Amino acid sequence: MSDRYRPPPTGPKGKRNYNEGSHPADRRPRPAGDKFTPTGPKRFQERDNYRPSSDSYKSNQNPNHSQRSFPTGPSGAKPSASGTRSAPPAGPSGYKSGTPGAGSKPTTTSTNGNYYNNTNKRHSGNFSTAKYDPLNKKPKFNPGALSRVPAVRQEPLKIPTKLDKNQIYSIRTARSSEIFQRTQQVGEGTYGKVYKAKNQVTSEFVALKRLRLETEKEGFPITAIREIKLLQSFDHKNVIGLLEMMVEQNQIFMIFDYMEHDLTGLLTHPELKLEDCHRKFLFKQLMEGTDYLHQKRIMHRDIKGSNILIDNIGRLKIADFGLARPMKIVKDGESPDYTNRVITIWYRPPELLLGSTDYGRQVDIWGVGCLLIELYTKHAIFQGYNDEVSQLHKIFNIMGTPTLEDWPDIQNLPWFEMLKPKINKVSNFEVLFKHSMTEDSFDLALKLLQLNPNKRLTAHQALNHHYFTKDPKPEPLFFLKELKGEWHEFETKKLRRKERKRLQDERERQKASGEVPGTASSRPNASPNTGMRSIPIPPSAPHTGPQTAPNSGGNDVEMTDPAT
Amino acid sequence: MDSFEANTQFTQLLRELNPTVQSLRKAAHFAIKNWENEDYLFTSIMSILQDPKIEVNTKSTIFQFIDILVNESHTISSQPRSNYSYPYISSVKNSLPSILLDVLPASNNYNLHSVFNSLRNISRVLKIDCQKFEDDFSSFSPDILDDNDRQNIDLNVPYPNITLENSDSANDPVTRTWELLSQKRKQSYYERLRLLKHQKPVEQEVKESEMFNLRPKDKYGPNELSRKQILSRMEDDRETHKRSKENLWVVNRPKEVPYVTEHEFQQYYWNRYDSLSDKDEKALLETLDDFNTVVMASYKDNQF
Repeated sequence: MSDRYRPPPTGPKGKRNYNEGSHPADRRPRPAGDKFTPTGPKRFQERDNYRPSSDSYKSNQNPNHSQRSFPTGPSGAKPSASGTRSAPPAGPSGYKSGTPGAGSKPTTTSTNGNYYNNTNKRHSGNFSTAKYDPLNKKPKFNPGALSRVPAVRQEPLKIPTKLDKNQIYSIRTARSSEIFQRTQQVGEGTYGKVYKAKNQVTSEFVALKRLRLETEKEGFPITAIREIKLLQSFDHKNVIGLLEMMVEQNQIFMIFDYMEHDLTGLLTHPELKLEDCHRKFLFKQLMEGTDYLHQKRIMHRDIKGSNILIDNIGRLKIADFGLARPMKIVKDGESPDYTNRVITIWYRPPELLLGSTDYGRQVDIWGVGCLLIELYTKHAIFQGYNDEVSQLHKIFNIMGTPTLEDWPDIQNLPWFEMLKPKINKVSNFEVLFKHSMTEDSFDLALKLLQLNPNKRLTAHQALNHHYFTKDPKPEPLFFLKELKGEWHEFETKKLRRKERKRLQDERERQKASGEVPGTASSRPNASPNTGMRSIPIPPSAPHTGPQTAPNSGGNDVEMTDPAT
Repeated sequence: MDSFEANTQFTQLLRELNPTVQSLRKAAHFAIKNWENEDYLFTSIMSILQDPKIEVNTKSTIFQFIDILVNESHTISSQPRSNYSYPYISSVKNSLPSILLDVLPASNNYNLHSVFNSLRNISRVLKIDCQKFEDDFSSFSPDILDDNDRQNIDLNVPYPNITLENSDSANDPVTRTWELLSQKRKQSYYERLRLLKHQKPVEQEVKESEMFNLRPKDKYGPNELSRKQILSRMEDDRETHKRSKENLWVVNRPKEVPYVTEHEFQQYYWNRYDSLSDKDEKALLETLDDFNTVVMASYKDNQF
């Protein structure tokens, strides 16, 4: 908010005299230093010079109670003018005294007609130049400014209840350059693009999220309004906050604090070595952010690595609320009827894959559990091939098919009949992951990744898990400051694509020259142009990110081809 | 349009039916418009459902169409000065039990959930109280199986086929349909228990086709779904779900009363909410308090 904002004068709405020119501020002398000269049509000049006077506002706080309970009598029509220091010399006496009594007719009533006529003149005449000369210290007497008072008195029915158009507050900047200088793109999705930018005034870095409006046929997208509304309500160190909104050249930007990395990007760093204390530091923040959202009855509905932002000492913030929503309050037995087309598919819990529309905060917990595993293995645990069947298959293969004790009412999910396992698969989870994790973290992961949503820990319960209380204690990731570059999924993916293409070219060349393929892929760092930031590609598990949830931070323009 | 022509066109519409509002409405309006040929048109609905070559997904769509047809017929006919007298409603109602068995063939219950949704809508239009069935369906209780069933599960006996005889023919057809639907649900639960009990647990990784009932590409079978069909079915269900939300806001207010009636107030507003629990109230007050703090902080000048 700019310094120029001042709360409007108090008093009953109808009595606030929002008529143009009648406000005391319009008669306030400009300080000498204020050299702002508005340009543009007169209408704009008036608007841009609008400065509700804080002084007169404060003076209105005087104990004169008649102000708040003004009678509808004609003399009461000017409460906010009382005590204004720019009262003109020839003002009406009742007005000047600042104590308009109820029903007492001011002496100026007889002159009303004259003033009223002046008003008309003022509108057609040179009113703005006389009144708004910014260099003129002393207020000029302008009968026009006063004339509104009698005008209101004469036509009490016409008291406007809203601000006039020219008083709607807005800032018109005359900067020659943009305040935020964009440096590079750091993300992309169906919603639009994210840029890193530098504030030219404060030299701070911010992230600009540009809303894509070209594809919107029906005006400003309601999903963006939902997102902004949610973002505005956040106040937590582990949840991203909206700094401001910006409209520039018909584009709309959301402005956030800039964070150097995101979790997916960071985990692909070839030289990143996380100790258990670091993982705990990150995961605790993630859990606290999730708990905060869940306490506020908000489901994020797009938890995944690239939406978890991390700064250069490992502070973590949950971002991208494009799919988030507050939970409905429903009676027992009623379904809230949410859409099940949410959450990027690798992080989508089984109840959503089976078509539930009656889910809750547990859907986020599943994703958080996946990320806990990812902190240890650096790879997403359930990498399906972009559809529900394959994703559920991956989950059941690792976690086992649900038994009756596990999940008795899985039966009630809409698509269970279609995707009913015809075998009993036992869980391989322990075999696959226990050895690469600590005992406590494995136990926590197991409790977060329960197939049955009602058996998953809540965020609050998870924070009380002994993983967080036992040693090692969480440690900030100070070494990230030494890490070269900034690691977002967007850039690493781009590099990976390049790398993949390079490998493919190499393979083709080898094929052409009759060499045995497979030797080249073991030297991913050989590429001179990728240098420090080249990424080794595991030949079997390309960590390229799954199909994203629709309308969300779909960072995947290019889908992974399962065949490669 | 003569009855033959109407019938041909209608059959074509039904075969090309897809679960979008436009497509379903179009077919329903066609049927209602040609209400004089109801006998022919209704027979063609039934014969398509009984066609052994028609896929289960299409059957589900046709059931949704029947839902829309009943709804539209009712709405159109109940308008003042309407020329329609509830076409199709009684024929649909009387055949509903056999329609249900066609849509849920053998032990193949893919359509269980969508049929439940449509049947609930139909019952509401026909003003038949099915709250008990609805509650049973959406809750889960292991008690739906009796001792006999449990014994059969232990013996690994498949659930007996469900036929029209499984419902009480003295009942209203809609109630009978609900009875059959409950049976179907029980069957599916029974089969799940049987599988859990008698299938040996698998340790090693399995392929998709070994885990789920997927119809292989080269094998033809109308009562099984291929992987592609499952996915398209999911999309269709999402579409249907979206559609079901479209008229959530609609309130049935009699035309002659321009104000909120007591009934409307009770049904749509008052009864929707319970009184706040102490915990909720505390949460609400805390939220308001937070909000106040934020507002206070947003002013540059001290307010109080």
